[in-house]
Amino acid sequence: MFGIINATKERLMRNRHLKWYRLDNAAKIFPSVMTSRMSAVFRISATLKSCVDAGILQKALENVIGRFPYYRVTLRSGLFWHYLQETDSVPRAREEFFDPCRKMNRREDGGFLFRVLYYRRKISVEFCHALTDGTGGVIFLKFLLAEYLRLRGVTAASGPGILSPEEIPDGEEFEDAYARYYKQNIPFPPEESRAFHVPGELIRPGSLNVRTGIVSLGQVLSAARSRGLTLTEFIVSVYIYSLQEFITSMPERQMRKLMAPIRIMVPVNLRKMYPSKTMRNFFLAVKPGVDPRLGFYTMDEITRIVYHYMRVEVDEKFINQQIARNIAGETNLVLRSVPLLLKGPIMKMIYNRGATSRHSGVVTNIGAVSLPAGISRHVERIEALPNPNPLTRVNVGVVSYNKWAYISFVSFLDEADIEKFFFRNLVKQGIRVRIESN
Amino acid sequence: MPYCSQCGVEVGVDADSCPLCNVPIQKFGEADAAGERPYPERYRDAPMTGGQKRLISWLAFTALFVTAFLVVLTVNLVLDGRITWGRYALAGIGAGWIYAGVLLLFIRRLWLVILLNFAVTTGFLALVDVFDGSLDWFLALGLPISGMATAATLLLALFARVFKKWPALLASTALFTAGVFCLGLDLLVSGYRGQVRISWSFIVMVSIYPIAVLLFFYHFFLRKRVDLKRFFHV
Repeated sequence: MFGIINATKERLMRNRHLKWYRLDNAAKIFPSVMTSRMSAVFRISATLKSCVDAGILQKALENVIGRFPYYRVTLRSGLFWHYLQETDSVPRAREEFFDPCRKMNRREDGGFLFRVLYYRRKISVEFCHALTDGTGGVIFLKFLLAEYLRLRGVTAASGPGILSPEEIPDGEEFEDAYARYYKQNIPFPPEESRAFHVPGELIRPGSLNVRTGIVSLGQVLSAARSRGLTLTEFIVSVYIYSLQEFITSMPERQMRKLMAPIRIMVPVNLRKMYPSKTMRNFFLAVKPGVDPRLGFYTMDEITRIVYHYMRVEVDEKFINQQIARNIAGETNLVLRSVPLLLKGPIMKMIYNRGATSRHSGVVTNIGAVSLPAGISRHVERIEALPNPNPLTRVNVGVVSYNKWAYISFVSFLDEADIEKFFFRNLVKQGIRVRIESN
Repeated sequence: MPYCSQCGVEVGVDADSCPLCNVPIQKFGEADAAGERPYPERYRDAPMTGGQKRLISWLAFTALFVTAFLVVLTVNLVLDGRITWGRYALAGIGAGWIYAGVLLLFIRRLWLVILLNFAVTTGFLALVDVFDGSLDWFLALGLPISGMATAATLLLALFARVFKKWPALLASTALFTAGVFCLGLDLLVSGYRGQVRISWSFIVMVSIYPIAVLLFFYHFFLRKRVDLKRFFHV
């Protein structure tokens, strides 16, 4: 009996000394809106040229995690907000068994908000958005790969873009960069209307359909450049066009019911706009789109709209408006003083009705992942799966690596209509596409 | 690489059909090329059926009701040495348990649920009436009211099934049934008090029957001819 009391006391004493962190501004909403479908988990994976050695991967993970104290945390609930609390558990590399992007469980594997998985030649890291964004995920994966390869005896497994284990994390890596670049007293961005959403019956919670199109980077880039677009803009344009085709392929009655603006959410990495070394979330989104109620848009019209939209909207001043709105929500005294128990449902409603319903899908481009030659020799491909969303049903993640672009659709639908229209459109542009699915 | 003749995309060597459009993939002597699946075999445990879920909830309810039953029993016995006020509470808990069981186990068979509920309700009312020594209000009020409510529910269920596609007609008949039920209730209660007469149910009928008639009229005479949007445009 006394043993139990002493052990509890000891644990409480130890917990008092554990560090804790506030969630960053973008992360604040995720713990309240997470469900088994809306998992807020994204995945970045690397396929090696030889089978993964589980023991070495575990060792590499243990060596690496010390460099990322802000990821060695568990999610806790305070009275008013969730927070992250340091933990001394050790993360485990597990063999992949379930579908990708499964929700993080507080009682599973030490309650980490990320997981490392392996399957044959593939190493995947999955992160909850409460912890970080794609940039943080890529840096973590690169470092893990370098350490894994170093332990496997690969020399020259380091280079630019790879952290070193001895390094002490910079204080800036912990920061909530939104708060740093927040401008007070500027007007909020205008409200948007509800966007079109792909209809269809959702598959079972916990399942996720992944369909990846592998295209030659050269081909897709030359198709994009012939229209004066970047890779992201090109993919967004083709995606908008495909959604439009999908709507107009519907029977008349359903088409009329579905008609609404098509808007694609494109996350923008703010580290390029505002210098920050933060390893937590630091992105915001712009939403290019067209309104099919005004008539059918040709591919040329869409590319023109997307091109100009991106050049106007990806702008420090407009982005700052968004930051101002988001921070104002967080610092609002009324909202702050509502207990988490009540705040959760309110935030969920705001997120689903106000935020997610305003776009028809997400196209997130992690960009070109470059690895030092010593490492890239052993890595065949890099893929990224965005966090799935049951309202938009289908989301897209893009990575380019080593002459290839990997365009991954994560979907809650068994029918692959959107993917079909999208990839057929790429084929029509003379781009060779190879499809893989889970 | 095999490819889909519909989509024009290449697919994996092990793919039997196109992941995009499900068209079967033709193979030209590449069938035995060893392909490596990019993802592990999908893990699909058989999800619990609705029946299994309801059975588990029923077991949980049973545990809850048994606890409540024992607590009431013990408190009553300890305080008074015998069962006094406790029998009302116990009868209520028992009836609640059977209601929950009926709903959870037979929800798919609506007729059975309605009839079983009738049995439980009348049984419970009879018990409560008998507890004070004699049957006095059960036969005059309890049994006929629950009988009427059951008949009305059965009728509504029948209408709901038959008039599924005609909402106006369904609403009209539902209102009509509700009116008749109120009339019956009014007559019964006033009769029990000594004089059979129509009082409050008249007001109910005056307020809902015009609507019922309007809906009835709309269903049979206007539905096909009048576009409501046009008719009521502002």
